[in-house]
Formats: sequence, C-alpha cells, structure tokens
Amino acid sequence: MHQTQASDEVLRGKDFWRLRQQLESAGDIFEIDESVIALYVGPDSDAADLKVTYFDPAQPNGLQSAVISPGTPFNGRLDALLDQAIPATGQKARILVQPADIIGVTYLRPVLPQPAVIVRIPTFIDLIGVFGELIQVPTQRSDRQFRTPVLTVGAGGTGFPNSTDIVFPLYNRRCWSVEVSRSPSAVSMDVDISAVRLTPGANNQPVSLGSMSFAGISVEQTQSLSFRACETGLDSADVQRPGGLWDLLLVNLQTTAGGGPTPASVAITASDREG
Amino acid sequence: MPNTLATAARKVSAAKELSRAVPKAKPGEPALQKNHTEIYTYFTEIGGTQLLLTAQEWLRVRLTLETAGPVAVGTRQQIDPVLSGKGVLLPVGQEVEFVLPRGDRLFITAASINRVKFITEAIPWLQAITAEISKNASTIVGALGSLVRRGKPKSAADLPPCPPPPRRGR
Repeated sequence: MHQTQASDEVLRGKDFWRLRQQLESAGDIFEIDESVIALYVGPDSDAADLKVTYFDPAQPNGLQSAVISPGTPFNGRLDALLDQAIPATGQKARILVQPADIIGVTYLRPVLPQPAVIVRIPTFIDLIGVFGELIQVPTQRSDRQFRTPVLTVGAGGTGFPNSTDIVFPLYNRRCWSVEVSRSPSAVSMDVDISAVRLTPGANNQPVSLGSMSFAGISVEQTQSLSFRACETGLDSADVQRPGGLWDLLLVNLQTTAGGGPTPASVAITASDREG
Repeated sequence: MPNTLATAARKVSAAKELSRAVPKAKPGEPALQKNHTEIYTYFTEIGGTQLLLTAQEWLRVRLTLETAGPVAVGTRQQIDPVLSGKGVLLPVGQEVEFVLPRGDRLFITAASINRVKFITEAIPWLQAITAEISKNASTIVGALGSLVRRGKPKSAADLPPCPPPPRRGR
C-alpha cells in the first residue's frame, strides 16, 4: 500500500495532483486521501487500465469501483471521507487506485534456459486527480520511447550465454516499432520480437511477431520492424503477425553459438495511435 | 409615520458613519480602519466542526471552495459529518455569499484537507440601519402603547350608547 501526497498539493495551491511512480508488483495499491472531481490516466503511464475503488454507502460492502483508461476518465466527484470508516474493512474511506492490467515486472520466459541478460524497462503508473475545474482530458498517452546504450550481446553470464532479452511494457499500445543497430562485427546476430498477454499467476508463452537477421559483415547495419494492433496476417517476409493488444514486448538478441560478443543498440517506440 | 426605513438610512450622516467606522488612533499612529475587508485562504481540518468566525458586526462572507470537497458550512454548532445535511455543501469553484448578523457564528466541516477562499466584508450601514430600526421600533411601540392607554374608557358611562336592536319584520 502506497500513500500519495495529494493533500500536499492542496496546501501548495494546485488544482490537481499527480501520481507518477514505478510499479513494484502486480499488487500495488495507492491510497488517495483527497477528494477529486475527475481522475484520468496521465500522459506517461505504462499501465493502461487503472481500477479506482471508493466508498459508496449504497453498496452492501460499502465499496464501489470503476476502471479508467486513456481517453476514458472518471468524471464526477469521488469522496475521500477520512472521518468515516468502510463497514466491510474498518479502514478509512480513502480512494484506492491499483493497476487493472496484470503488471509483469518479473516476467520470465517459461522456457529454460533463460537469457543471460534480461533488461527490464520499468513500468510506471501515471494518474492525475483534479481538484478544481476540469479543462481537457488527453485521450491518449504520450509515446513511450526507450533507447539502450550499446549492449554487448553474447557476453556470457548465467543462463543462455549468447542471448539477451529486453522486456518492454506495452499495455494496450496500438502501434510499436523496434529498431536495432549493430556496429561492424564478424559475428552474426538474430533478433526475435515477440509479445505476451499476461494472465494471473502465470508467465505466459510469448507469441512471435517478427525477426531480423544481421550477417557478420564489417559495415554498420540498422533494421527496424513496426507493428499495429489492427494488423493481422502475413508480412512481406511471410511471417505471421498476430495483431491485437499485448502487455509486454520481448526483444531477444542472440548471437550464433560460439561466435563471441557483438555490440548492438535497440530503440523501441510505442504509441497509442496507429496512424 | 415619518420614520420609515429610507429616512432612517438618511439620518445616518456620513460623518457619523465615518466616526463609527474608523476608531481613534493612538498618538503618532495613522488612523486605523475598523470595518476592513479580510481575504485569506482557509484550509479545512479532517472531521469535526470548526468555528470559522464569529460576526462582531454585520458581515458579508464570501466563500469559494477551490478543491473537490466535500465541505459544509452552517450556523449550527455541530454540522459534521460533512454529508449529514446539517450544513450546506459548498459548490466547487463557485462563490457563495452569506450575510451574517452581529453575533452570529459560522461553522465549517470537512472530511479531508480542502482549500477555501475566504472574504469577509463588514456592512456598517446595515448595522446602523438595524440599530435605527430597532430604536424606531421601540419608539413606535411606546407611542402606540400610550395611545392605547390614553383612549381606554374609564367606566361604562364613558361609552357611547348602544344602537337600537333591529326590528323583526313579519
């Protein structure tokens, strides 16, 4: 359970408060001790769906909930009544917020051995609560970008020694692209891009979306692949691209066995817009 | 009766009003203004009913809730819980105005920390009018009372004769 500092923003004279925090687990719950007239998903949120639970004396257990997502705010006064207790739990009637998405901050591929290096891009929650007049609510999140420094792929380590995984939070993004650059190297490298839809309590099998191959040549190479949620069917390389919405994007970089390490960098951009 | 509300208001001369509004300053100090306007921000406390102000004179109070509330105000000594209906809820972002007579108290309650813009403005002319009205009212009541006492008959002989009874026709 995490406390937010919404009352500090009231004392500072602001018309809104913002909760932007890295999610530590799928069970993170945030307590809000200030009433709001609207709640919406902020521009920098990785989690797309957020569940809001609030005190409602008309309900049998005294609690009511709603799910907000980008473009679908909760417009209406939600009360934090700190001088009252929720009958079912005996706790103060605060507003509670938690991710409705399954947050896979510890995702591992269900197959062994695991890649020697796993780069996990942190997942953030961004929630904005409005105290005063609600002017305009953004309908989409801002684009999420991640650029690695130069990674040394195939440098060894525990697990699968010549394999590196990058785990990127996708959570209902509708369009994403992966660009891989490789410095001149004699070692060939394969890149596999896959996605995962998480279910409770399981590390689900990733679904392959596409792949790139880098030959061992002495020139710099850059390749990219992009995907849209509404795209299904075969791509130009006759690779089946399942469309849809996903929770995690996995970019696996793998050198040929015994080839040695090779430098590479990866840039991932995910967007709520398909156009 | 010449003492109407308008004439009572006219009677309050500007000089008298000024002397009432501005207290005597101490030697060497600039003149102080008594009936001043107060503007500040009030932050509510969690739970309970708090005394917001006691009107030392007639006051116009303007409150604007700048946060989501709920915040209730009222003149009863206990208006909590905030949603009990014992007070009135302040709307968000809209100025609410109350006129408090001298001696009235205004209470406030909330269930979370909220920000309320608070403006009080003294109404000295209303104070003066009220005083005049109450003075004139007592004069009127006294005059009516004396009229009644003066016109009261002392015995049955002072009363006028009764009119003859109506005749009954066949």
